[in-house]
Amino acid sequence: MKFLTKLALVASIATTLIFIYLFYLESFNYDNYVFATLHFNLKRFAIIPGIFWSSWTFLKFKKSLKLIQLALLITFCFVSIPAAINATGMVAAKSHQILLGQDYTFQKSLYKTFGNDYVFINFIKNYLSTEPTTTMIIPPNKLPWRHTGNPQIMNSLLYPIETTNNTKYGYPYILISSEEDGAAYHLWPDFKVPAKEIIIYNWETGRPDIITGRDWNPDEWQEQKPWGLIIRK
Amino acid sequence: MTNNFTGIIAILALSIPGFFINLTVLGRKRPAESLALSWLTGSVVVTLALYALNTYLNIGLNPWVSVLTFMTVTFISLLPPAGNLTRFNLYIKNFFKTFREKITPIKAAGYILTILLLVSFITSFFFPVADWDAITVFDFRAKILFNEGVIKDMTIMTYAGYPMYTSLLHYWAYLTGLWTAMPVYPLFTASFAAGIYFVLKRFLTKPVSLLITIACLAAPRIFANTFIAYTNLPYTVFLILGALYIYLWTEERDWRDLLMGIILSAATFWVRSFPFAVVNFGLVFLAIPFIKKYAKYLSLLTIGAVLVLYFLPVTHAIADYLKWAVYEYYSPYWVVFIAFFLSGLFSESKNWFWILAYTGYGLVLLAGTFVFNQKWPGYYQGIYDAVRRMMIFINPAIILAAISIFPKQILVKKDA
Repeated sequence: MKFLTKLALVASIATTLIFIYLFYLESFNYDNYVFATLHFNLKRFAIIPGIFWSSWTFLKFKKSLKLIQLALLITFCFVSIPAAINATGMVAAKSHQILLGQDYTFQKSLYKTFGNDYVFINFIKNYLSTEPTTTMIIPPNKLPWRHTGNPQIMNSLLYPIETTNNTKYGYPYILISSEEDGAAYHLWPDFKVPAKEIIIYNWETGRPDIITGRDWNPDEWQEQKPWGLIIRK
Repeated sequence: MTNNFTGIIAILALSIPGFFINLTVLGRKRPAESLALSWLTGSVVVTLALYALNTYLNIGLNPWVSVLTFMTVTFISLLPPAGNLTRFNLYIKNFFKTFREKITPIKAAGYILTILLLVSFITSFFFPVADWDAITVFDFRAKILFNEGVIKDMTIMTYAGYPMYTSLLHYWAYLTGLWTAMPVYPLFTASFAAGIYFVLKRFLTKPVSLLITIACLAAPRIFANTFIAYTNLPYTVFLILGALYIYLWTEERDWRDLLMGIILSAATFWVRSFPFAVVNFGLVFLAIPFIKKYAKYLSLLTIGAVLVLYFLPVTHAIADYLKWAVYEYYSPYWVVFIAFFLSGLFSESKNWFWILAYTGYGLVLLAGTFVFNQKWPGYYQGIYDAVRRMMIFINPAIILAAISIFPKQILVKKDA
């Protein structure tokens, strides 16, 4: 029995170390990295060290603890140990990333959260950076304009520019959005706007194409799927 | 690097008023707990002072005003009569002595946990605030405050109605020149671990205290929230530690525990506008012998209420949704709850505190979702992940029920 207990302990420690490494790999690279590269379902099999620790707990304490106490400790091994291993792997990965000097900026985190929409919104923010603080009209707060139609997101990304979904106001700037997040493409503004300038964001160059002397007519732009800004007359 | 250094000092400095406030509340004989909870109380008091100054006295926030507010709060916290801190000095001496003693597996686990928390704190200085709500609400408000110094104006641009606690902590971080406010969050995890450990250590052995602490930290999503700038982790920390102190009050009847329990539970309203702390306040009544005597029947009644609400046509859809979205998602914790409940029932247990806390939180969740559904019909179905995040505290609540499972002769410290 002593041999079995020792064997369970060795297996517990070994599998714990292996799974810390696997969780480290997952956190260091990206979600699902282990499955993509090693074809091993980490989340499903994370219970393996828990099984070994449970066996060791059972063998070690079966005589000294009551059934309910033993059951609780075994549950702890099954539930908490995989979570603790995951946490250790995650912290190890974060530490390694820092030691390697990987560059983490707020801009990168915004890009990770809002994707390419952030690139466009950042362009608008920079474009209007010399203008006095103003309010911009944005698409309705519903799909497909998940990001560009959400005033909270737009306020935080365009600050100090404020945004509103209400088209009745005569604010000078109207956002053009071809966002298609979670619903079919719907170009906005979907109404005509007398324009002083139409600024179209060029996704390839990252620079604006400025069109003057032409009003905004959504029918003329449907094919291009433009992103940009209208400055009203 | 200099910014990081001043940032560490400024963020940790919030513990100073917190430590002295805790010493006043808990008494000078409990320095370890006072230190463990110092960052929590300190951060609450300083942010409340900044908020009151700005909102009610219309004083704009800038570095000078903020630092002066911190210093005033610290000075006031020092005013209560200074007691003898010999016990604290002794504690510090003993703490360093332990490093020279032989390493046991339990001690090793304690060291690993401490290193893990320390590394989490250090790494957080290198990562930006990420994730939706953090960027658009909590961190954004801090940045407006940093630029404009006025809280009232920002409600136009952000979600109104969210308490300012974490935003003011982010503001405090930016004030020190830090580029990220992430170091704030590992401090909540550390306070949670230290708080649970030192409170439990008062009446349990070190190994059991440590085991329960690790289990609480390893509960789903708790540790992962160390790296997320949301309010779920701070809320959990205040709610569960508040419940733990109220539990102590029901067991030992020390008014200091009751006061600390109420302070921590009330602080949840400064973190999020959710009513789960009313369960903690309700549990205070378990100290009344008559109610304690019938706690078993009260537990049966609350579980009966949950079952009735589950089968009642008006609430069935919501109850069924919550069963799927929260309880089944956090499996097998609900199984542990049932095991504790049945074990209590058959072993004639007198300790029903955590069973009542668990079902109480569940009933508030059900009632809250019902009211929410009246206001925004059907909307709750699409926000299941937010509901899961909101409820991360239910699992530590059931882990703490383990306190009552082990018999006293194993658990109670010899010198207690």
